[in-house]
Amino acid sequence: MNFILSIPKNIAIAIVTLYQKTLSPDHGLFKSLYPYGYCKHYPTCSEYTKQALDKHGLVKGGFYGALRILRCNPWAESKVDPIP
Amino acid sequence: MFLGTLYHEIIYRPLLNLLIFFYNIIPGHDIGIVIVLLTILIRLLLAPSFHKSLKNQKALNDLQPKLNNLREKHKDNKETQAKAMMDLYKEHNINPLSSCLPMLIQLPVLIALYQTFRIALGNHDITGLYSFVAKPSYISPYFIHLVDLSKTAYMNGHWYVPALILGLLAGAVQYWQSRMMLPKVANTDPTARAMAMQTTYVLPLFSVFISLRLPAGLPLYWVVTTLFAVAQQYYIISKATPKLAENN
Repeated sequence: MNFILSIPKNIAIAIVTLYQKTLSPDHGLFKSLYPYGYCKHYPTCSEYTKQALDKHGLVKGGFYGALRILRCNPWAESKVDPIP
Repeated sequence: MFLGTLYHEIIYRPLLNLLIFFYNIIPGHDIGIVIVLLTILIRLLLAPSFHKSLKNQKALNDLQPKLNNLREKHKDNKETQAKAMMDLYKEHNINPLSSCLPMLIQLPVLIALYQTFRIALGNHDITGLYSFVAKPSYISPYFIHLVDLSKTAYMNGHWYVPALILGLLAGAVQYWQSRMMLPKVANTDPTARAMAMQTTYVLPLFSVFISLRLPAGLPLYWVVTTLFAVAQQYYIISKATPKLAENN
């Protein structure tokens, strides 16, 4: 039962992981072009979203992830921003 | 569904119309020149503030030893390391970090740009033009009469040399960009070194490999967009370094 219920969340996590392995400027193929890192906060938006999905499931975790990306804008100040 | 419509109406259609509009007004009606112009225009619109990058680059050159110290000091705890580095940036009123939201906004723009090139080069029936943009009866796929941009480098057992050259060029400029942007300091961390190797050699080879399988218009786009990034970086570095020497 638990396994079936966690399918949506695990698919979402797999998509974020695929992004991290390829396009992500913080974790992916272009990582070395950004020696200081890319994402404004710690942990990075993708890592934050992954952990939020794992902890809170697809709907709530996805919502936390979306809010985090909105916080990662040019006017925001860098901070350590742990998963709620 | 809603997001799909949004993408189509706000990003894809305006770009397609702009492309056809350029094709109509440019003397000679050269799709290659249109691709070059449109790519440069979009990159200029998406470019971050040059002034800010310049200021950051200068300050970072100075802060390098301090940053290395912090990296070494907190190497076992990524969180305190991140915190300490952020505090240092704040103290010096700079921030070398970008932000994810603008990147996620420009990703669909680049995908749409790629899509419009495919449509224009495939000689499909073009739909979705605005009433004031005339539909060309035919789009010639030639770039300055030299390269047929709709052809792939290797097709039906034959090599098409101009497309092959564009594909190799795409790899070459990609290599140039990596060499230029990678930090020159000898990195002792083996994982970081492996990553740098990957960016320097694997990515250019990958670009060539993909380019040879696509119509030549897309490697042309890749060459222009990478050259733009190189020029941008070159501008920032050349402006940042001499000023630094004066201050010392």
